[in-house]
Amino acid sequence: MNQKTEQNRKKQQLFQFDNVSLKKGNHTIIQDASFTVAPGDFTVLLGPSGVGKTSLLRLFNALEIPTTGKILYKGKNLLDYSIPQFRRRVVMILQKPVVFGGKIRDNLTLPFALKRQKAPVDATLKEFLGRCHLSHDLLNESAENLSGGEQQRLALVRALLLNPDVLLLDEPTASLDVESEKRVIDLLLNENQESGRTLVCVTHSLPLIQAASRLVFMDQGKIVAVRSGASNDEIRAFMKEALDGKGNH
Amino acid sequence: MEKGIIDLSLVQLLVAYFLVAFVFAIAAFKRLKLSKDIWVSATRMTLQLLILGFVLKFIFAIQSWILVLLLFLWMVFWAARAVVQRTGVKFAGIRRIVILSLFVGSGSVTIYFVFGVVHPSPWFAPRYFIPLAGMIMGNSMNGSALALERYYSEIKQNRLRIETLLSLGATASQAARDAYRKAFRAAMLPPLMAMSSMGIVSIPGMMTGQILSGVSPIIAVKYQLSIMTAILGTVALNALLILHFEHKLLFNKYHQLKTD
Repeated sequence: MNQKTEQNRKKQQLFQFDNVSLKKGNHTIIQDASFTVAPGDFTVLLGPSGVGKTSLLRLFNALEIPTTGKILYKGKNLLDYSIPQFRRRVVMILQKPVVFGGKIRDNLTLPFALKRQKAPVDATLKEFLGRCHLSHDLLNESAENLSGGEQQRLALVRALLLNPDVLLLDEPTASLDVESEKRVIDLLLNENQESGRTLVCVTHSLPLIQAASRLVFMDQGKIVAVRSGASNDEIRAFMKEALDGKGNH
Repeated sequence: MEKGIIDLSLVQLLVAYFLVAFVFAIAAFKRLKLSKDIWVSATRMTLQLLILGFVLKFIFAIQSWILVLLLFLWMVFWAARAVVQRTGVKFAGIRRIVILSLFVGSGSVTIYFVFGVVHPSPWFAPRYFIPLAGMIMGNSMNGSALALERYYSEIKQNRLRIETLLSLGATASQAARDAYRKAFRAAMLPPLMAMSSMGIVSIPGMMTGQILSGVSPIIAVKYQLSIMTAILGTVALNALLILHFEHKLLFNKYHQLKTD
């Protein structure tokens, strides 16, 4: 990326990581991470297992707090926001979606109940269920009876109902069957390309990596490259190199 | 006191100890691998109570509020130690919060009880203050241990659920509400069960002691009723305090569940 383009990105950035490090005890998880995310970006964090991708993702919505460095959101230190409010703008969906006891309606209206806000009407809930390829008739069903793939989509519906600026996704298609995976991918691409929602995603799914507008390559807790795109061969080469490199340490 | 209590002679005490020897013999005969436990427990009990007896005799004779206060602090220290050891919960600052909650919780209920209910003269009269504080402290210790351990294990086991709630904009208190409720209930259950079964299943220990020492059963009942309210109050207050401090240690001001 040339210098001018990078300067333009910084002006309109949504997130700016400045030399962010994360340590747990004596163990360094993330080291000197610096990069930006602009509105509408679809950023994928790439790298072999255990290099800190999930921890980096958790830093985006303060599930982890930087040990050193700072993270700016819309030009202001993330930690200066009211964090519960902020997390409703930057919603994270964890790798294993948690559905709560009770009906699917209760699950969907939970974030509104937390803030004592008026929940969306059934028609809206049904519309969102439909967008995520879930049946309209499920509202009164028990959420715990859903399959893994359906629970993943329910977690997506629950997040989308908040109309967040940013969706953070940790392996959104892991452990899904082929059909569920395709539906989740279509939904995410639609959210990004049609609705312009900013996505930051940890994934090994090739269709998602191919659709990303920014690829952040990670190894050993460091960001080793930020690219606007890469061919499949480049991605494979990186993953292989990173894995080989890891083996050498 | 209506009649003097029958003092136990050394021989009578030895007759009582015969039961310990009997249990020891059963354990040895049946090879229960309990002999050492029985021997150690009986010895500890004997020594601890003998020392307590002499200490109390000394304190009762001196009648000094400083000594009463020192004894109270001693109780807090050992109760806190027992709570930390028994729960097996380990995180930075745990000993500090247990000492603080036991001191504030049990101390305030004891003072309330002494000044509001019993009115001894002087207020620190060791004969009243020490046994009352001991009963309040003992129950506070159990309640604190139950609340502390339950809250910690609930938070640990439900990390994913709590972080999901946090990710959806819940505050730390909202995310931990279920764990809080369960921990508080766990602490309150023993005194509530004791209250509801009292007088049906057994005669409470304090009442037994008073009746044996010649006090009218009605006076003993009034003392028992009022001490039970103090126990209920102190367990609730200690659970409230320990859970408040524990919550502050497990979550930070950014509504983050700490990970290390």
